[in-house]
Parts: sequence; C-alpha cells; structure tokens
Amino acid sequence: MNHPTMTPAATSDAVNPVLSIRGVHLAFASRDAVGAVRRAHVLNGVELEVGPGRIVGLIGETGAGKSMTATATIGLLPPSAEIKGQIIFEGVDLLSLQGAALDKVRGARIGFVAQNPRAALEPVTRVGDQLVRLIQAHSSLSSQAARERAIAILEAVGIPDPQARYRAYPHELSGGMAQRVVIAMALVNLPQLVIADEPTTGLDVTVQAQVLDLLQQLVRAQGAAALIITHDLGIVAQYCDDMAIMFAGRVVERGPVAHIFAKPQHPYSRRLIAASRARIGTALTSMKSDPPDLFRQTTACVYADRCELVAAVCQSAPLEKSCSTAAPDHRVLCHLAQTP
Amino acid sequence: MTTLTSPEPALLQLENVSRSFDVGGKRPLVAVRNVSLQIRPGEVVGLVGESGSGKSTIGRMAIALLPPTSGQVSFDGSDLAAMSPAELRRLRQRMQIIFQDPWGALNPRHTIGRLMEEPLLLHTTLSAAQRREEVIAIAQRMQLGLQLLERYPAQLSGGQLQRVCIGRALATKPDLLVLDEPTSSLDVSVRAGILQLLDNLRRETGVAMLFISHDLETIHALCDRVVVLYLGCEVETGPVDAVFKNPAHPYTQALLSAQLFADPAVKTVRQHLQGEIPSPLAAPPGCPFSTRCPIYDAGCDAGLPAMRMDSDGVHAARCIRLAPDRFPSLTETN
Amino acid sequence: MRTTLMAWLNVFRGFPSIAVGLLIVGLYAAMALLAPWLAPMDPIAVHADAVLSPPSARFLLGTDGNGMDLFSRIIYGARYAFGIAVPAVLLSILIGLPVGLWAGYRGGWIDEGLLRCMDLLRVFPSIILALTIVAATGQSIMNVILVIGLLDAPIFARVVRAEILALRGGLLMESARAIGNGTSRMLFVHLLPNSISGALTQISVRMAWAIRVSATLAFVGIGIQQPTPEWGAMIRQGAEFMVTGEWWVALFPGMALVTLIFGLNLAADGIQDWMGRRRTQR
Repeated sequence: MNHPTMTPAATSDAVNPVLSIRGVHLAFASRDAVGAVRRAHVLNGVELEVGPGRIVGLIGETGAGKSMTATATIGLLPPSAEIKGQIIFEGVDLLSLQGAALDKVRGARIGFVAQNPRAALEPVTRVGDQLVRLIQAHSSLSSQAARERAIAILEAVGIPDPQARYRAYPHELSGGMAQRVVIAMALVNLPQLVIADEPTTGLDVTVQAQVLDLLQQLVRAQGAAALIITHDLGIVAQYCDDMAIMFAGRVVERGPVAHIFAKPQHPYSRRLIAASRARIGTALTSMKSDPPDLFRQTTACVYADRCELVAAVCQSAPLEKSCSTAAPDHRVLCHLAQTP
Repeated sequence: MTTLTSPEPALLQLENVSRSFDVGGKRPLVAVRNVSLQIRPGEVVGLVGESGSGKSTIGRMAIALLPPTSGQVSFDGSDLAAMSPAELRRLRQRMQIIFQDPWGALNPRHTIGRLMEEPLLLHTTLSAAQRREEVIAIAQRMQLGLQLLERYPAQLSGGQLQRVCIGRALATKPDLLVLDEPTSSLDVSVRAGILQLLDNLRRETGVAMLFISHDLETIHALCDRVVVLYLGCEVETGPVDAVFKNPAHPYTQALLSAQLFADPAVKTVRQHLQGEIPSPLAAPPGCPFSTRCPIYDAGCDAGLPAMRMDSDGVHAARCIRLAPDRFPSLTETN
Repeated sequence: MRTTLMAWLNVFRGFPSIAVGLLIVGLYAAMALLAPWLAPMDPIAVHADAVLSPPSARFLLGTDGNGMDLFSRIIYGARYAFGIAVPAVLLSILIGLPVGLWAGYRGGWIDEGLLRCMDLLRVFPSIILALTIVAATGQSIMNVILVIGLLDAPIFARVVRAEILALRGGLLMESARAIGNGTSRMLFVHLLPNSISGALTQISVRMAWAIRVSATLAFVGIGIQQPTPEWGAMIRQGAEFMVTGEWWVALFPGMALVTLIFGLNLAADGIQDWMGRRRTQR
C-alpha cells in the first residue's frame, strides 16, 4: 500500500498518531515442540496506534507477540524474519528503512527502554561515556556540552551524585539505578516516542513504582508519547492513558484505559481483568492453559477454542480488521462484540 | 515470639532463627536475623518481602533444606537439628515445598506419572498398582488430564506443571506446605486458577501453609496471618486484615502504597522511598529500614528495635516510633 | 513402544544430521558384523597372479601389493575399526564416569587429581603419547585399546563433572531432597541421568578419535601390522604405491576411514544440537 512520504516533522496535527502499526504480520522459522523446523506466525495482523502525548500500554501474556511488536518497530528483527505491513512513524514507514536512515530514527526520534538493563548497557564502558556517545551520535554538540547534558539527564532520572555516577560502570549500579540509566539513555535525545519493554522486570515492588513514576513524569514533561509493554495490568491501569490487549499475535481490544477497564468487550480482556484482581471465591472457570499454537496460521479467531461465548461463526469466518464499539477509538476484534 | 494467645501447640516453630552465608568476603552475609515464627495446624501464614528480605531462606529452613546458623526450628515439637538423617527423611512426608520454577524442580527425564508417584514410592508401602490408582486420583483432583501422565515436564505449560508440583507435594498428605512464590512465574490468567486450587485444598485438607510472596494482593486473599520481612528481620506481623488495613510499620505502609491495582479508578497515594534496598552485606547497624524510612531519626540507629505488640496481642511491629497507645507492650522474647 | 518409535522419527525429522550420521555408522556396523557373508573373498588370501591389479569385475576395488582383495579387506577392516573403537570407548566410560561423578559431587582430592590429569594430557599431543606408549609396551591390539581407553577416560570424567557441578546445588537437587530422597537415589536417579548428555555426545566423537588413532598408529608402523586388514595399515602400504600410479590401494581404505569418521562426527554434532535443544525445550 502506497503511503505518501511526508517530511518527518513533529506531529503538529493533533489527530495524527505518532506511531501507527497497520496490518503487521511477522513469521519466522522456529523449532516446534518435537524439534521440527516450521514457521511460527508470531504477529497476525497487528493494528495499533499511539496518539501524540499519550501513554499506551501493550498488554499480553507469554507468546502474545507484544515484545515482537516492539522489536519490529525498532527494527531489530533477525534477518530471517518475514514481515509484512506498515509501521508508520512521523509519516515514514519504518519497515522500509534500512541502515543509516533507520539509525537516525533509533536513539533520537524513538527511545527504547529495554527489559534487562544489564543487557542494554555495555559492561566495559562507563555509564557517562555511553550517554555521551549516544548524544553525539545524533547531534553536533561538543564533548563538553554533551557531558553536561549527560549529567543533567542523570540528575533528572534521580540518580544521586550524578557527577560521580557518571564514571561508574554498569555492574557497579544496582538494578533500579541501572534501569534509570537506561531510561536516561532513551530520553536524552528528546524522542517523540519512547518504547519501554517490560521496564520493571526483576525490580523490587518499591523500586518498580519509583521507576514507573519517573518514566511517566519525564515522558509527560517532554511531551512525548510512550508505548509500555507489560504483562501487568496494574501498570497499565495506573500509568497508561490507552491500552491494547494482545493474544496470539493480534490486538484483540484497544482503547482508552478507563473505558476498557469499565466495560471490557472482548472475552479475553474480561478474563484478564478478572484474573488480575485475585479475589478468591469468585467463580473463575479454568481456562485451557496451553499457549496458542503459533505454528498454525488461520484467519479465523484463535481464541475460539477457549472462549466462553464461542459461536459457529468464530471458528470459520475470518476476523474483520476491527469492529468498532462504544467509542470510535475503542476497537474490538470479535465477531460477537456489541456494535452500537 | 511466644505471645500469640492460643493454647494449641504450634506445628512449625522458628525461635530466634538466624542464617548467615559465607560469601568469601570479610563478613558473612546475614540473610535472616533473629526471626521467630509460628504456624499452627491449618493456619496459612504469609511471608512478604522484597529481594534480600530472607523469605526464601526462611522457607527452606522451615523445611530443613537449610540448617539455621543459630536458633531452633521445631516441627510438631521436635527440634529438626537433633534428628538423624533417616528420621528427617521420614519426617518429610509431613512437610513439603512448592518452588517458584516448576521446570527447574522436576526431573526432566521422568514422566509426569513417575514424578507424581515418587513421594508415594519413598514414603508408603503401596503396591505399584495402588500407587498408580492414587496418582490418577491426585491428577483428577488437580484437574490435570490423565493423558498428561505419560508426558514429560517440558511438554506441559507452567500452570499445568505447577499443578503437578502441588499434586506431588500433597501426595503424602502433609501437615505443612511451604510455597515459595508459586505463581510468580505464571501468566496472570493462570495464576487465579492455581490460587483457587490452593484455597480449595486448604479448606478440604486443613493443611497449614507458609506462603512466601512479594505480591500483597495474593497474600491478602489467601492468608490468615502475615509476616513482613525486610533485610532478614521481621518488621511487622499480625492478622492479614489488620496489617493491610492498618499497617503500623513505615515499610509496610510504603509497600502497600507501591501496589499497583488493576483498576484505574483506584489510585494509591505513593509513599516515596529514598534509595533502594541496601545489600545484606551492608546492613545498617540499627533498624534495617533506617536508610530509607520517611520517619527516621537518630534514635533508629541505636540497635534493632524491639517488637511492640498491640493491646490484643496479635498485631506487632518493630519500630521505635510506633504510637505507644496502639502498641503498648513489648513482647516477651527480644 | 509405538510412541517411542514416533518420538525417534520426530527427532530424525528435526535433526537430519543424526539420521544420516547414524545411518552411516549403522551401515559400517552391519559391515563389521556380517563381514564373513558380505566379503566375496578371504581378506588375507593371496592372489599371486593379480598383485596390484586395478578395480575390475573380479576384484571390485582392486588388489594391494600382496595380491589381497581390497574390497574384502575393507569390509573386514570395519571389524577392526569397531573392534578397537567400541571397547576403547567403553573402557573410557567405565573409568571416566565414576571418577567424574565423584569429582563433581564430592570434590576433594579425586577432583584435584582429575584436574591435574587433564592438565597433563593437554600438554602432550595425544597421538604422540599414544604412539610412545604403544611402541614401548608392545604392539598388540589390546595395548592399542587400553591406551586409547585410558587416554580418553579423563575427557568423559570432565564432561560428567561439569554437568554435575552445574546441577549440584540447584533446584532439582533441593526438590529431590525435599520430597524425601536419600543420597543414593539423589545421585543415581536424579543427578546422574541428567548429567550424561555431554558424555553421550562424546561417545561418538571418541569413537571417531579411536579409529583415527589406531589408523594413525598402524600407518606409522606401530600396533597393527600386515597382513591384518586394518585400514590404517592398508593406507600405509598404499601410500608407497601412490607414486607408482596404483592409486586404489590407498584411496579406498582412506575413503572408508574418512566416511566412517564423518558419519560419527555428524551424528555427534546432531546429538549435541538435539541435546542443546532438549535443554531449552526438550
């Protein structure tokens, strides 16, 4: 599908989303349970939008495809991956970019907060030097100016004694501290979009709240948009404006957080929200707990074999792109969703 | 802490238990400091803490997988340290543990059926056919399809495997079950099912549980009493409703405020804690929470605060700044 | 029974290298077992009228310098290959596995001793070592087997030790102890079976090695000698004739040797991949 290439200016138009993922299919070769090599269909038509200045939570369980969506957006897929569709950012299809053009976007226009801070930081380079390198790669600041900017952002992310910590190596920092550094690296070049992939995995509960508060505060201060990938509905409820729920490589429901929590339309959304509220005694029918088979590609609904509402149409008819419901920005991928 | 007002003898008792590890440096790593804990038959006690709290170590000491470096662990009145290895092995049929990682805990080369049969093989004199029958009964109680008995652990999902572990643990009808973060590595939609299963089992069999977790909502749903740990010390203990509705210790308050509810309408007021949990190797001299406590003052460095008990004798916390009218009495020990 | 067959077929489907490797090895093993029925002639029968004759209808792969049929000799040669490799590797396992088990589980002086042994072995190129020992102790098949077996034992010990060290303090052991297993069950039912995947891979590799060593020994004139139809010895004789144009005398035994070693290494590779896969996914 042809898309006119617009100049990648800041989104002054309030209606234009910052990030628009359209019809993305992703497959690659993988070994199945018995060891045979087959194609795993990891993403099956993902539709997602991040509005300007909005924080979107992308939620799903293991194997839903949420991390893959982020990986595809950042352009870090392995070469054997087959990807179709479009990921439009600032008017440009990221999937069509390669090499230097992609590097210009990554790290400057899109910031990435990885799941494991120790994996994201280079172990043999001082933290401050890594920041400066990132700054200078995308700007023409002098070393002195870059250093000052680095110290400023270290302070902004709440690292005590930033002058001293500038010279620290990543292994000298605690988990929470290291994650703050990663956040600093994501935000230092004032990106339009921040993608955070499970940013609080492995962090203690009290530290998790601190880190998320920080992320939210900085993102809002910069007027950027954010996509937070998580499996924790608590994080989505407390920090996100919009949310998208994924299952088996599809976004089954998306819309404003308040709406969806109040009236979840998709059976999976309902189950997820009910399960997150851990109340013993509420009759929760045990769901088939096998993860969906990603080696089987189908255009019909994959949730059908564990859905309590399942009807004949679900097993056969291909899912429409999306059926809109109560609000124009609240979409559900379900044959049986109520349409107004 | 023997001040809990109940005449029933404790099933599990930890008295002033400490555990250190030699990690090669100048000082040993003190994982658990002077913890006292009691579980009565049929009771569900929650152990809450973050990293470095010592909760996993306590769980392992409770079940004699680790000996304490000081203090005493008794099960049904008998000191575990005084038992011979053979006696201890026989005792194990009465106390079992469920780990966080079901794949790591199960022998990948054995079928599910063989794994579930193992405790029966070790502790009973049932014939092979009888064991097989029992395994089938257990599998049905755990809502595991019988075809799974022929499969291997790697072929099952996390939720199914954890059910296998639970079934295995309950095979010998133990009196005590220790659960070390049993649902932390499972998906959300699976978690609820496991917790419901545990609750049902508790009600059907009357087994006592020591439930270790960092997830406060789960603890609140499942436990009768809760012990809050920080850097190897108990900082607060009491009935779960009392502790969660009226947390006395600043750490408990901060922990509760850091909870993220899956409901955008519920916004907790975040208590901002400074810094992070210190390493157990560099524990503060006085109150362990002194480095981050919002109500810290110089008196907090004067040594480990004593446990203060409330007037009902059930809710206690370890803080010198507690309101004396709410928490009038010191406990008998320490 | 049926399900195990299906399981094996799936393994072969996913890891063709195992299938091909084992096929090759299997063919050679069959050759070794059925030699008397497969070989058209007596391998040490001298055909004085047809010395150094090229491949023909009568002598499928030609004859060597003594007038013996190459084809029959190669078939019988498989017996020597397996006859040395299999006992040698079995000996290595018999010695190496218990030592590795103890070293990994208990540590102490057995562990130290083992590690020093390994260091010693690494200093010398093992073929030279094998050569020296066999030359010194006498040239017989038994000596060759003993030397190879002993030299390879530390390798098995090492791989088992490594895996045991990894599992020793881990969750599996804790869980086994918690359920009430005693030490011997922990060791033999839980620890050992999960520590032999490395050893399993090594079997194939070591067999290839044993065959190569014995062929090398024979090639340099130590160990097995004419007229025994051992491939190495055959290559030795054939090397002389390469210059004079009788290429088949060295080539065919050489190909037989290379193919078997290739098959063993291919299987080893595949097994290693499969084991690696098993670790993450069974």
